Amino acid sequence: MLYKRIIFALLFFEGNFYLSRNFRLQKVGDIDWIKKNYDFGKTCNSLDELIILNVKKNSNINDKKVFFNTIKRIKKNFFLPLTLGGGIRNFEDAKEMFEKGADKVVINTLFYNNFLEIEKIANTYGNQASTLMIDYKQDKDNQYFCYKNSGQEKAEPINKFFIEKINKCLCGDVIFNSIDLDGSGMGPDINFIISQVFKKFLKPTLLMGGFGNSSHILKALNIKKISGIVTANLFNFLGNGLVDCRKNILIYKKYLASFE
Amino acid sequence: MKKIIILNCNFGNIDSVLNAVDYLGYKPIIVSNFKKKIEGSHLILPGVGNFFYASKKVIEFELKEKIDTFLKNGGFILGICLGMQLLFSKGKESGEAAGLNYFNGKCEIFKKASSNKLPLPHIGFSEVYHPDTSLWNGIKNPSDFYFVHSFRIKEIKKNSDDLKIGFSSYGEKFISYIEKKNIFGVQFHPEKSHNNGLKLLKNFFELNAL
Repeated sequence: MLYKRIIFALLFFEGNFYLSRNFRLQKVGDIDWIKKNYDFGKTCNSLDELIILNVKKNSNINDKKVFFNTIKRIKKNFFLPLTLGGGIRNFEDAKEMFEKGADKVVINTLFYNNFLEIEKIANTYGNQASTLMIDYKQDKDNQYFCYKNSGQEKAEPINKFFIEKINKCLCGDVIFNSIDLDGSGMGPDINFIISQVFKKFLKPTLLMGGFGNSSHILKALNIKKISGIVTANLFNFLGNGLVDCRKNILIYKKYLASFE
Repeated sequence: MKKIIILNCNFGNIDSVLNAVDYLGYKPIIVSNFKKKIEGSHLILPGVGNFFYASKKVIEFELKEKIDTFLKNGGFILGICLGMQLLFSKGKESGEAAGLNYFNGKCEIFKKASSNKLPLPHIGFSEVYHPDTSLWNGIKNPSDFYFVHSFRIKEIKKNSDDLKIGFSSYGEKFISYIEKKNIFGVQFHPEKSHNNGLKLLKNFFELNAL
């Protein structure tokens, strides 16, 4: 049987990690600060995967150097799948991430602007190597729309054509990230994922946005088609937060793998 | 003296494997120049990606001949993910292609995933039911390991006594572990499977020459 996944996403910007609230960033601290104050090791050992996104736009060579140095330090002591992303505009950007230790890369704007580059990534690294992140929100008429460029630019409506387009995309996981619930801790957008439009969706589905405690996570994992959840909520889940959350969920349901 | 070799054939990144080997206290040698023969005690063939592409590299680098000599000299090989698939005779990803042919089986796409409404690729932790052999010392049965793949080997022909197999399931049962004498293969990623994975790799490096 395949277990469901709890994935943590760290947001990186110029040497520090940040919290995000409705896509607005608040500084938390650098890797040493997080390690010291939040027992980062404990968290990593109870995660199914880790995502690290470099959220600085148009990163220069120095920004990338700082980012990849941090990745190198994290990779040294933790043995879990690592997905890297942020600013991937073409195959070469993705290649650089793989060469610096990514097992998978997150693509977002590329999906709307340059579909062929995703094929190029798949041909070299396999379909599973790209994780598609769809940032979305509801407009005034309750219609769901996806957004590109860090949630700033409205892209297209999430309807059956859009779902077909994702099904055809040579990617593995798809993360649906709610801009409205981002960092709110108010609970996940379950209604979105169980809506009719997802009936024919074929990819592994990850839900992101709104997770504030273990009952929120359990609520999402209870949905059959959800393969896992992603949270970037540093304050709620670091330290003992995720370790306890994993234990709590395992008491109710054998949804998650056990790491000895 | 243990001499660990990691083959870098340009299919997928070897960084995670390298980190794990390093963490376990070994100093691996990365081989990406295939002009010379492969000399060492333990060889890791990692790989993520496409069987067809990897098969072309196997031919281009004359890997079969080199690994044959390595095995004849008593070395141990561990194929990981695509590396395990390549130990079999045939793959059908992006067209039919030949593997290294140490095991007689075909690597094909998960057939029952779509009828069971399971998404592909198979990504995440799954249980591995494993044989009770040295590589599994100190690891519970079953144990959870990280998988990421769309293609699998369902069965193997010509069973023999020294062939040991481990299974997992994703809509259907498939081979997630195989060993025969000094040849080992894992469909999952021990280097991304927390402590269970580290234990398995440690057990592999502790195997002593035949």
